[in-house]
Amino acid sequence: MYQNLIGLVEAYNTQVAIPKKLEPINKEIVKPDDSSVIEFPCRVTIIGNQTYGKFPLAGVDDQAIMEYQYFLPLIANYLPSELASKGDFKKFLQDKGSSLIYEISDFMMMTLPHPRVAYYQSSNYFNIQKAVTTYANEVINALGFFPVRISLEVLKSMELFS
Amino acid sequence: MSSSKFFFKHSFRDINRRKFHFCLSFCSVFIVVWSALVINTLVEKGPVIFLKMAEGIQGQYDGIIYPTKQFMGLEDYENVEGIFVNYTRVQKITDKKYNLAPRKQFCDSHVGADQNEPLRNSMCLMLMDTELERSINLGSRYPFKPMKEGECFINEDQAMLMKVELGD
Repeated sequence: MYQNLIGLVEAYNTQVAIPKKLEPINKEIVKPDDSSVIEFPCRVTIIGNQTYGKFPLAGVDDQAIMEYQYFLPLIANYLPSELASKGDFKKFLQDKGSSLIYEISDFMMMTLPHPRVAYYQSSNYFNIQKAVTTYANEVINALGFFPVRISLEVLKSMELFS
Repeated sequence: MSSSKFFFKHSFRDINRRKFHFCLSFCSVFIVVWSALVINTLVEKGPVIFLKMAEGIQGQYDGIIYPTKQFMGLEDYENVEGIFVNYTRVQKITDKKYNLAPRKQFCDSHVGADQNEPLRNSMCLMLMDTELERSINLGSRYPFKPMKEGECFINEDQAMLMKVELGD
């Protein structure tokens, strides 16, 4: 959570504090120790018994899920004490958090265009590999020069099965 | 016409005379044709079966795009390098051309039924946009509606360990 809090403080400083000439928050107040741990409650509304294709089978026993857009407005009420006292920062998370979180995603999931089965239909693995990696390269190219990487886990498994 | 009649007449007469021989021949031909059809179908549909098996292990998605140097699998991935992907910007520059959905994940999250409970389970908390993922066919077997603020999904084993039920 430490890196996320640093990112949020930076976003607050550039989007709110500097334009409105408020006092920017010093990033140093967020420390990489237990003081940046956030504790918050949640109500269990779904109890699952499988992965539903959302995550790997290996993680089925210890995976909890929450909805993406509501996370920052929720944790705004449970910030570490140093940040909780910054009223403008808290308000910033409550008001802008649901859109801001899309700007600080940890990773992105990619699916092939419909019908994705067509990419895997060849009985020759090298044809499958060529089709999938060509598309993946196209996506990475489109994202620019920033060093993003892509992991093609299903393709890796297909190599074992084929 | 007359030759067909002649052929059928002799065929039926032959079947009546040698019933056992006919059954044996019929079964042999049937088994060979049936096997050929099964093998043909398996070869044709094999990759799709393998895809379903791979999806069962890895999940129903084709790629994970990450900005960090380290990635050892999604099940315990946490972005600790402080480099994030701006999904809003990505959608803008690619003109929403690709099927992408953002996620966040916090592993080593300690979860307990009660704040003061001494035994707390270590889990990965994943954040996902249910509607967006449904629109790109990611995990189409997930039947639940999007959760609201402050609501969460947990596995039934964890629920049993923490002795929590729906609504707790």
